[in-house]
Amino acid sequence: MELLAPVGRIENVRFAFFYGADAIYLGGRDFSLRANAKNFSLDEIKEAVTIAHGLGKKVYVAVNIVFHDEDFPNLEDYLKILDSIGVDAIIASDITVVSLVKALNLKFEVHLSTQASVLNSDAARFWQNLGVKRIVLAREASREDIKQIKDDTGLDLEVFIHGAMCTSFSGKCVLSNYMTNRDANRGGCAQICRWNFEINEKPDLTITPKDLNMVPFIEDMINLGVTSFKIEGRMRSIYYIATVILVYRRLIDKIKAKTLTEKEATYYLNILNRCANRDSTPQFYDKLPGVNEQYFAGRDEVSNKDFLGLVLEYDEKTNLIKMEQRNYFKVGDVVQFFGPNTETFEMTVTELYDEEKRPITVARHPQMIVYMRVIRKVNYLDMMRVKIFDLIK
Amino acid sequence: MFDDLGLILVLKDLNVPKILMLTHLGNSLRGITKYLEYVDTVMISTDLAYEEIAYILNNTPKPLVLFTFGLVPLMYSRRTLLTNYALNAKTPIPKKITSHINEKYFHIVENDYGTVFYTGKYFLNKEADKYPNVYAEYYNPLFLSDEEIKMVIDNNYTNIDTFSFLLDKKTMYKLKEED
Repeated sequence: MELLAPVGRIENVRFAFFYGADAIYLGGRDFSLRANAKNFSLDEIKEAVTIAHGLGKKVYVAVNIVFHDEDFPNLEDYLKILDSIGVDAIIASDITVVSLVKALNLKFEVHLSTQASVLNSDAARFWQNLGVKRIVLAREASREDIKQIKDDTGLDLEVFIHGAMCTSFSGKCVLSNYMTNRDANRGGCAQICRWNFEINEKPDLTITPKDLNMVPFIEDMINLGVTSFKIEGRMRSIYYIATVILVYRRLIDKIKAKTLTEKEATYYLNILNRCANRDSTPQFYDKLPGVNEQYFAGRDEVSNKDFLGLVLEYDEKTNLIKMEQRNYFKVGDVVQFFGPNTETFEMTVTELYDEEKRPITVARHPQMIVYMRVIRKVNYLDMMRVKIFDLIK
Repeated sequence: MFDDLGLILVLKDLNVPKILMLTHLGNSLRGITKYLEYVDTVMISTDLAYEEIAYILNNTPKPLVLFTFGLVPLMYSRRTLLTNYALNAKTPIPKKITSHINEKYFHIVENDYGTVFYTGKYFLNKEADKYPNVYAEYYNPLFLSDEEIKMVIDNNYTNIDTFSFLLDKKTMYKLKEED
């Protein structure tokens, strides 16, 4: 069973693995949806694979656009290079890509993208016959769909457990094409589903879905035999991916150890919703989404500034940390530290120093280096955030 | 006619012509050619420009279905978006409405299977009779009156608001080139 995390740039690879991902997925500079993320050069993909394999973990590369004929030059060479680099799988939705991998006898697996919107066993078998080893199910898959497909085909199934939703069946939406000429199925989606649609003399129609979270059903999905739990978000920040990965890592480990409490589940859900700045619900798993699974006109979104700093060094003699500031904070603020090997704790900021170790009262400049006295050991790449929720007691 | 690939396996022994409506996935000659190994013909996507359609039809190994006229489905949601909207706004639940963002209009229809957004105008491919290898032209008369359907059959679009959708300009997807 695998926890699969998104990375949008090479800098995020270490964070994803450090915070508990078993595998990562990323996009190259070509052929991947999220065309306007920074994405990975071939050298960076190679570096990511080296890091991953050194940790016994995996890398999947998205080659998941729906191709027009003008997009095919360089595809074959690209796939061969990915194979030589040693990526573990590609994620594809176009039958041309799936067939080409088979024809070229490449070593990596093919995982079928959610763009193919597979929701039944026959469709899964169609792709299985073409050599696909894993299906990333449509986000509309219910519990019954997942069970049926698993029972009928035995295929590895990858299911989204967290992150942004499409309003439409993935791969079947061209609102962006219509409104802006930006091709949604080649990575140019302008997210028209998050705009307001006017209806004369009536409240605007909105079709924005809330985000997905599967916190209440992780145990059930483990029992169904889901192979991989996928987090959405290649364009998200390191704070977001670290927080989300760590929460689900802890959830999964506690479920396996049979130690998860309802209080903990609620706490984790609050943390998840806060870091995304959006509400989230299980969406299609247990029911058809209704009124409570969408946003409506009048919703106001204000970005929070919870992520305060990234720990770079800890001196156990002085209890001073060296930290890169990520948002404004000051002496007197109550903060929390968290990390994969650090039990979350809170403290009040009492001593703060600049890079020259001169006392300051405010860390105001983006990414400035500060030193701060802490009350407990922290680790490299742990993070500091604003205290919003009380810790579980 | 169908679009779920699972039906390729279900219908494989059925001795009737099978038309795969790839909708937004039938965007390349190579992809379409691959699907033609399983079905009798495929409907070309409406996401393409004139020259892209011409390239496919000039080189296809089998004749294809061409979407020639009708409202283009833009988005298919499993959610009952009009019902949810009405419940939230506390208004009667419509099964069909017209909406717009600026000057772009949509017809929106809901049934038990979900919600579909269509273009506000009727798509018309004026070059349809110039292509080779056309198995059939697809006309979708959704929301047309009987009178209007007769006019379309007579190739008379005088009173029907038509547009070319994406035919005149290829879509783009990268906002800038990487250095």
